[in-house]
Amino acid sequence: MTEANSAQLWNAFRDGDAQALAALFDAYYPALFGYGRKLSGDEELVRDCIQNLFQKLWRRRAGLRAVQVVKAYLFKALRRHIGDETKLLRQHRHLLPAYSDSFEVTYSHEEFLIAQQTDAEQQARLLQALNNLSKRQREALYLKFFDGFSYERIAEVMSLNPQSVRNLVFNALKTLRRVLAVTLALVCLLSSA
Amino acid sequence: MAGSPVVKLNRVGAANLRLMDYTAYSTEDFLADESFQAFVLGDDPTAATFWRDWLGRHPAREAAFHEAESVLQLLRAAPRRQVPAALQQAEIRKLWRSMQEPVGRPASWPRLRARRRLARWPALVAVVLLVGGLLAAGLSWWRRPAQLTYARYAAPPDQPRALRLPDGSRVVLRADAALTLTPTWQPGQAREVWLRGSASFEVRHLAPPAQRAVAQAADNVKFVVHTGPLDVAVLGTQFSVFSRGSRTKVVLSTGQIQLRRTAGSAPPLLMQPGELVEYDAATPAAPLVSRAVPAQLYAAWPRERLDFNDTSVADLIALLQDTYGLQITVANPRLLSQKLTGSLPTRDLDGLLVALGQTLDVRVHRQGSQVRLE
Repeated sequence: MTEANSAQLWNAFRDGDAQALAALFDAYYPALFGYGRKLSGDEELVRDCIQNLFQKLWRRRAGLRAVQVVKAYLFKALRRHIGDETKLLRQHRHLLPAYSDSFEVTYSHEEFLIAQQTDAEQQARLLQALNNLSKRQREALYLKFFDGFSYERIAEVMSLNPQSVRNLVFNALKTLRRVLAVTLALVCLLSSA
Repeated sequence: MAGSPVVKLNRVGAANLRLMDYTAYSTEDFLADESFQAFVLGDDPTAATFWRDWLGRHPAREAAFHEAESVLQLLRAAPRRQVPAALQQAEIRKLWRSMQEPVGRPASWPRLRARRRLARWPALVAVVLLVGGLLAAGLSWWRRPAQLTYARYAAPPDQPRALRLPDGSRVVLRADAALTLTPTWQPGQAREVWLRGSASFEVRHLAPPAQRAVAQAADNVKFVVHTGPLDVAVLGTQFSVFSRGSRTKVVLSTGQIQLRRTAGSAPPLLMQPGELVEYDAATPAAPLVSRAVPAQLYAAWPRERLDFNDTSVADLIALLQDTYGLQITVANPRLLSQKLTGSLPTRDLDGLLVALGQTLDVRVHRQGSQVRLE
């Protein structure tokens, strides 16, 4: 779905078109679910948060403004919802000890194309390097490389300023370069083949 | 920005708009350059042309260029894993229901677990507020369906997990698999689960004993496994599902399976015991392929050891390829027709391959999912 299409649907939904909101839901559900699942390991929580978010958007449609990039708006709102819910779960941990209250991106190997070309050891090293980055670096990388957001949009989603996001991504790439010299040599070979 | 030599240099602490001279670029400079990033990620064809041209004219920068390219290549995302279609459909239905209800009904929110325990009064307040609306809405309000909440059970990344379902059926989830279902099942309700990954099922037969044909059975005695691209409907059966990458395989041990694709309107396929049916999401329109397999071998993996009796090596190799997603080649084709009796450890794949090598008296070479026996 193009940005122009979703901006149109967003305006239609604000005017009371339920079908338009349903279309946005269908278009962005996989991306939202993927992002939510990355932040919180708990799929049930993510499903509930997405559901709550859209129901709330419907109820409050009259008070909403026009939005330039709907995807970024939805990601930002979902992030806030999940953040709030995990905070609540943490507070009630004594009632619900078994529940996951993580709020950070963790990577696993099947998410990367390169995994199909390198062996288990290389994959493990890449994952370790990635999962050792700071929480914010991991999240910024996810939003850039998996959802294709621009730096300005990532800044909107994460409530940071764009230069901070650039620094996060740049520092993450620098660290990966430093830590993964061997894997890089292999990738060089593969991509020049 | 894309393609033009006048680019903002987005480095920590500096932003310059001038005619860029990239000849002094280090690996880090390439990494920090947004148009370079866009080129490697495939987001910007104009940037791609620009940078490839540039490299052609500046071969001295090749090492730094390729190193930066490699770092960015590491992060290229594989195609996104699908959300189970039925799950997304259930969610959109929930949304529609709530959009059609009158405003001011917090009771229709899916209540999160923390809140469920804490406060019941918001639901009561909502009921009171709506007494007036009730008279207009009529009796249909009383029959609104109970809130659907799902429970999800996942096996850890390195070992299987056994579960007992609300009807007494048993499931063993393979490492890293997950099963989603409503935690209680009402009598007369269709039994449905959503599976990600591989699992082995032993389903209780709830229909009258004489009824064996799935196709004719009523929905409320069927048991359905949604695996994403396929729906597996059974009455009371033992079967396994193997999901890896784009391929889904269903193997039937006892009973009968009605296999249906979730997309499209192709008629369902009836499976018999000893059959394996394979579906590849890479070729979704291709007909479902069925072949005969020794089903008891495919159901063996939840146990510590895989026991086989007079089994051909060809069948064993097919089993390993199907259940572990391996591609196995043999140097000596005569090996395939040998028959074996013995037992292999199932807990860890490398241990199994070593034991297999010893049993067959061959060397086993493994690179990722490629295995060669010679």
